[in-house]
Amino acid sequence: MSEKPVVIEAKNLGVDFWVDGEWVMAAEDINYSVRAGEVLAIVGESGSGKSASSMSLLGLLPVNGRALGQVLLAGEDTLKATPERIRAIRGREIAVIFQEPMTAMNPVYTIGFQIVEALKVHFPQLSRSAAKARAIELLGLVELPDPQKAFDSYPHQLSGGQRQRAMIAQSISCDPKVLIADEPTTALDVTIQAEILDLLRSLNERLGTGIILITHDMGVVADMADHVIVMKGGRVVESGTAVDIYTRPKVDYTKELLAAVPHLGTGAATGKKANDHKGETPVLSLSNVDITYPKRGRVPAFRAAEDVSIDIYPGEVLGLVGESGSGKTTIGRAVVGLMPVSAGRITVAGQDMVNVTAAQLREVRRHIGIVFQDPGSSLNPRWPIGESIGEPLVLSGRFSAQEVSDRVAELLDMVELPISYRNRYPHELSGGQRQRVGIARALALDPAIVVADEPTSALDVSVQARVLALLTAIQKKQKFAILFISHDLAVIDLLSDRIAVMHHGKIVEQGSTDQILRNPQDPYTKRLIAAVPVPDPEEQRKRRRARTTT
Amino acid sequence: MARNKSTPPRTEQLALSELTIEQRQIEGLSLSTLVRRRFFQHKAAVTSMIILGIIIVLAFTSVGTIIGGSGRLAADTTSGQIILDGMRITGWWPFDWYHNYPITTVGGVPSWEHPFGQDTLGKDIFARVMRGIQQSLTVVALIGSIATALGVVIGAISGFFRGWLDSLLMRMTDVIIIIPGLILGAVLGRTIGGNAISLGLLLGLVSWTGLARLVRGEFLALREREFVDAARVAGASNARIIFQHILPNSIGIIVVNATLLMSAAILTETALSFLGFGITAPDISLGQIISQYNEAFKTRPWLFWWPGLFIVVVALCINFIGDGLRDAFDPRQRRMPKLSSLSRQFRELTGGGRS
Repeated sequence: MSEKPVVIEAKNLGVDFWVDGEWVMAAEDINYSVRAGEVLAIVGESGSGKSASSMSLLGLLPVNGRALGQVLLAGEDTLKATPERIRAIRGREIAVIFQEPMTAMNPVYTIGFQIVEALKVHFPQLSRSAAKARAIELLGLVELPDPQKAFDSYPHQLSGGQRQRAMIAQSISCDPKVLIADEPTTALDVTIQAEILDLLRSLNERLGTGIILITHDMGVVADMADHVIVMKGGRVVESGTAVDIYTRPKVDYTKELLAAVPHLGTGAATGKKANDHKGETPVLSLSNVDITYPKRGRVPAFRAAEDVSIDIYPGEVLGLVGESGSGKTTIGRAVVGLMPVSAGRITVAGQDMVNVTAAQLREVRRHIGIVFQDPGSSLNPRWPIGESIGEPLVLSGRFSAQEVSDRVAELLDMVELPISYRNRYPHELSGGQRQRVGIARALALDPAIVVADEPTSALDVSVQARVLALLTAIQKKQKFAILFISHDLAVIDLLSDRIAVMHHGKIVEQGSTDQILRNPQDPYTKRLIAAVPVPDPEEQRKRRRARTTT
Repeated sequence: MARNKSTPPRTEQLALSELTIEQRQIEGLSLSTLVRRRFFQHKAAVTSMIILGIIIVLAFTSVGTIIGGSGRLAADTTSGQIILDGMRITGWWPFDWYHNYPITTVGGVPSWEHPFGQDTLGKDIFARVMRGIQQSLTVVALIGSIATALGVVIGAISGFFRGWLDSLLMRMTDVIIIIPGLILGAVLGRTIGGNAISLGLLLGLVSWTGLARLVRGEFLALREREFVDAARVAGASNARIIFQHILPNSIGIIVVNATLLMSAAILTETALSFLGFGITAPDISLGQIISQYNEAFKTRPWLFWWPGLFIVVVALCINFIGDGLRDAFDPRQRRMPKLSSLSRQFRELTGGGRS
């Protein structure tokens, strides 16, 4: 194999931030080079400096940041470039794919307008019709089903995966030499994540762009990367070829990151048998439940769930898995009485939830806890977290102020947070800590069943592992039932006794964890299992081949 | 922790006091306690509150006040003197705001006897300004509280419940918006008599519309947030969700709007008095003083400066208090703007230039 030219090279790259009167190091002594057509993965937790160091390549640091060292883009130091020059480089030479395409794209312009804009900025001589033709060609290149329609769509009219494709189309519009992909799949479902990664891989092969892939998930990069850099606390702790890193990690931290990736079928669940629950009354029972979002204005009625039947017995963990839009969150919301049911029966702790009165609903809610997906949004930003945790206790009206205060301290202790945190506000906590608070609130009244709606999908992989371990430990001790909703089979595998797979509002398969994962019957379940990333380059390559051939 | 009834030895006593410090740290604080604490840390707001308090006390104790009555001059049946109709409570200042006194200095220049000066008729300006502050503050307080309360409640209900209730309330708001407040104040002010309380009530009842719209918008956005669902699952009633959960999150917009409303109220009152409709002679308001003496600006500037100064000070105080409230409710706003932080920013800039 002939050596391809180096497209970008970082020498002793460092980033400092001016915080409270001094320069605080965010990244230091980073050295790497990316050749054309190569993929470099930078892996690390949030706050490890991986994003800051990559954004410094484009001069996109916040005002209180400064970059040190040297970045050579085809022999030119971008850190010393003038603002005019760096503006010419952005998009033309180095392009970025952001994490959340919904916020990275302007909601008031069509996708086509935004791509044409990028083209016109860098090629002013291009005519409008030529730019449009090029934009449609690009949208076809990223495998959007109907490029012409996508061209005229607004970002909110596309699904998450389609938006990310459009974002990629925009970033490759000027044939950049380097593409920085900042957590491009974190906001996406597993199956879509696999598709986007396949797309990036094939574009990389076809166009010969150098890609810098930033991620916290070792599983994602396994089959993408040629080289891997592992960062911690702003420093590179290990670097090497992908095969080396995955098969012979030298540093403990790398091993830790690899271990944090939930492995499908190797978790503690292996060999676990679903208990026989004959004769027991289920704590939560759904029979033939239909849920319909009513017609609103010109938006027609939408049936989110159809003929769903699930039973959960005391102390059991049921994993409900499916893509976004499959109706799994709707089921979770119906169980806690936030969504009306249009047909069928839901029974929670002996209470029928369909014809429930307000007083009965208040009573039954003492037996249900819910952990929401986004801990940043589910805690009232203006309330100290102690108040948030104590609210269900206060509202139940059965505890004195002193009892509430003691119970809050006990709950904080249970989720392994310092008791002094009770007077802090949500924004002062990290994502993982916030989700612990969410769990503490859900458990405040010793519920019989907890609905956990994607509780870890907003967290880093290593943080996710710790939060899941905590949840499992508490569940083992307190023996409450969990309805665990997730799109990630590997996570569900760690926790669940039984799994129900949902697709387009219907339960397609239901059974014990072993049954579903080792012997899936439904083609959709098979597809879901094949999409789970595995931190092993060889295995991933095999799987991708299997995916592309089918 | 088990308490020993007998006096503990010295070391244990030390441990005890340490423990209580720690306990105090982990004692759960409610939202209102935290907000109050942070508000009292806001120096500008606390200073403004003290100044406003002093002004109110000064205005009401100095010249006393008058309760009820028509506000017209009448002859006292017993003494035959001309007095203002209504129950008069006298203060420690020897002069009234409606009597003409002999002019003590040339042109009524401020002196020890009349510190704010006198006008051409010999009226004591200090007494007039004090009474004016009373009247203007009454109008401002009434407009501010009525309009804020109505705006918040109507906006919150509209935004939270949506549906037909929202349509009904917003159409009602539309009807009120199209009534020009100044003309309504002028027409009704004349029929119900030019006193501050009725004027304040009236203007308060028509000036809540803008706030209601803003609060409704905030509620429409905030009610979709997950913490509202979380509260509902915890068993919170609608009233609790509206007032305890969503309202603290929209306090910024409410406070900013309420302070603007109150500053505007001073001006509305002034405008009405200027047109001769609001608070009319022989009673007095700050706006009326200014409009009455507007031709004397060059010859007798003290007739202007004192009422003008108090309008500015009162408006500033209200704004600073509003600012303090907003900051106290916003947990992200931790630090007070200080000189040291400004110098830090400067150093930051110069430090940034070095690289």
